[in-house]
Amino acid sequence: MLAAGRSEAEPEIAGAALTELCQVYWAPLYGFVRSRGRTVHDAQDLTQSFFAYVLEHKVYARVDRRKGRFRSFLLASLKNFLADAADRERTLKRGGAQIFLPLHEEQAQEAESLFQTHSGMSNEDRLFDRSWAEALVAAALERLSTDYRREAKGQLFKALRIFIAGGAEPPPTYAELTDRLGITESTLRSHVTRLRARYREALRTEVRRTVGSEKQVDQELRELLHVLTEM
Amino acid sequence: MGKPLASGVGVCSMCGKPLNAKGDCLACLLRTGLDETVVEPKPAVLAFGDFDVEQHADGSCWELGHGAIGVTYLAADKVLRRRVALKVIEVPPAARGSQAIRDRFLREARAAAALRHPNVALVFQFGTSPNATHCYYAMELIEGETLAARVRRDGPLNAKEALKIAIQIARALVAAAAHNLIHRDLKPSNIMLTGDSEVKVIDFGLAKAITDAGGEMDLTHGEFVGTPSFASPEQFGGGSVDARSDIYALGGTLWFALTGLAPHPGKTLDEIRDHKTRDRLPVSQLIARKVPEPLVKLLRSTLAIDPGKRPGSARELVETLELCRRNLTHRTGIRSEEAALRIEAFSRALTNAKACASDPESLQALFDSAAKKAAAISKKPFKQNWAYLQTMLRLIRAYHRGEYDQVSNDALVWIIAALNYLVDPFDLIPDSTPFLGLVDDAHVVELVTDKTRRTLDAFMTWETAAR
Repeated sequence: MLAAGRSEAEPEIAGAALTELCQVYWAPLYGFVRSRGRTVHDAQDLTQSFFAYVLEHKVYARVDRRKGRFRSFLLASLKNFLADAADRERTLKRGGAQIFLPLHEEQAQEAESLFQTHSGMSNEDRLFDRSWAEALVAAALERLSTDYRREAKGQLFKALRIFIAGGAEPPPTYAELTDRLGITESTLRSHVTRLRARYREALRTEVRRTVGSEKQVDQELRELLHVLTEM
Repeated sequence: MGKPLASGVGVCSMCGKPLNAKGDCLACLLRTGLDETVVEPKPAVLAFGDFDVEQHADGSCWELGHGAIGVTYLAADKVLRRRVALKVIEVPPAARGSQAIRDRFLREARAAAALRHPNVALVFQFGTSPNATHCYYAMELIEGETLAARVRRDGPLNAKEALKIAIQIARALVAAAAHNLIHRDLKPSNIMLTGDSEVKVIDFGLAKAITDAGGEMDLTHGEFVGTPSFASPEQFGGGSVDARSDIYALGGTLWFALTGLAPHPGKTLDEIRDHKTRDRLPVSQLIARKVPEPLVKLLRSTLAIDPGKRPGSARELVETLELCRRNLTHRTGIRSEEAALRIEAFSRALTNAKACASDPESLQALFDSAAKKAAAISKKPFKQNWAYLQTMLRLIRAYHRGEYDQVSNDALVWIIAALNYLVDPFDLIPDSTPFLGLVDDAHVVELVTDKTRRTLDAFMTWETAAR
């Protein structure tokens, strides 16, 4: 847990990083709460309360940075949190929570949509992992998309996105794309290679924020991929 | 379309895993992060006639070479199931509708395909694409590298290696001459070398075919066909060229092999043409590389501006190159094995000569020994130096008898040294060494002649007057 791991030395930066992480991974946690039979409204409240609890009590400080992964840590913490849900709810009602994560309507809807898509899954842990993977790649794609737009290459990103994200339709041939984009095939190849490399780095950067070492980046990705391929 | 799942979510067309609500494939997205190859659909296979261009794992076409005249791909012959080198030339749009141009390309390519020689890469097949956008020909796939690549990697070759290559190219030219075929674009990058420096000339006779098809050469200017740095001066004129143009280009190629440079480099066609037609050959490049004189002479001849001053035919060129190689082998052999002995021999001869010059008894012994050896050998091996050696002997004899004394001690020492050198090496050099190889040593003869010329001229004048 790299960003949060620097919390003692740089509390503000660590706090901001953690808040961002919580935002990114809000949906998987929400989905997990929903899978426990909570209503949309309750799940939103509980998820918000959980993040507030994590941030307020600096729960992340207990993570063994050499072994821990933010994903498994959060899930375990959430399970504990939900076990004491009644107490937590009472605390909240007494105005115990001091920290709130902003929750946007769109974000809440997306999380619910994600939950609905996978609501048929029997294993709630698997549902959480899958949703986590969704959140992870979405964050990386968003980061990359922003970068391309900043470079005035938004259209290029849109056209080539299929080479990293796949899709139901086969990607267009290079010949089709060269005609559409008005570039040579060698330039196109170069763009695709570059996009793939940039996405890879964006994704690994995202994972790096949630694990303790570079080796764990690979482990984390493999584990998530394993979860997906078992489904 | 992806196959719909019960949930209504499609599957990835590349890996078959379910897509998410946004239509993205999480598995592909995660694999990319792991650098595990994402299954990418291959672009449509590039195919020409019976040949499919091979692809790398990432789907890109497997290029063997890329020049101004087109791209050479590694390709598979679908019918004969063998790998070939496929050269593909894009026909400019303006030329695509011309049946005459297409026919001309096919005619030239057919002639090239008829050439069969161990030093020429075979042309298996040729043709034009149905929409006339491309011309192509499939060649024998040579496992190796071009001469240009070899020189770039290892630096200039030694004379022996360069000659070995040049002789094989010249043999290919002999075979081509039998088919009235001219390469027109002979250059280091058209010479493929296998592991043991076996030569395969590529693109034989196809430069013209390519130009006919509308492709461009390295530099295109009017009717120019070839690569300017290696092309003959007459190729710049746009007039007719014959086999002597290839001989010129071979000279340029040999020059490049020996020096790593083109004899007349330049950035533009005009600049190169001016260098070729006005400037003298930069022979200093050869001298700097210690290229043997016979080879320098040969290069001067092959790179003559006037085609009439070049070797008249490829066969004549082969013979000259072979002779050059034999001489080189002989000289190199002596040099490599006995250079130290030769130097030691002459050095000792000079030392002895200095001693002999002031010691009548030693001088007499030397004279007797030299006279005896000189009498024992035949005139033939000495060739032009025979008279010179005989004159030296007469001078020593006259000096010894006291009849002639108009000789400086220095000149005397050199003359005696030459004689001593003539005699002494028998004790130093193995019997297998041709005697004349020593006396005929250009360096020694030149040195001694230079030191004694005036003395010998004066002695001969004295002899004439005395008679």
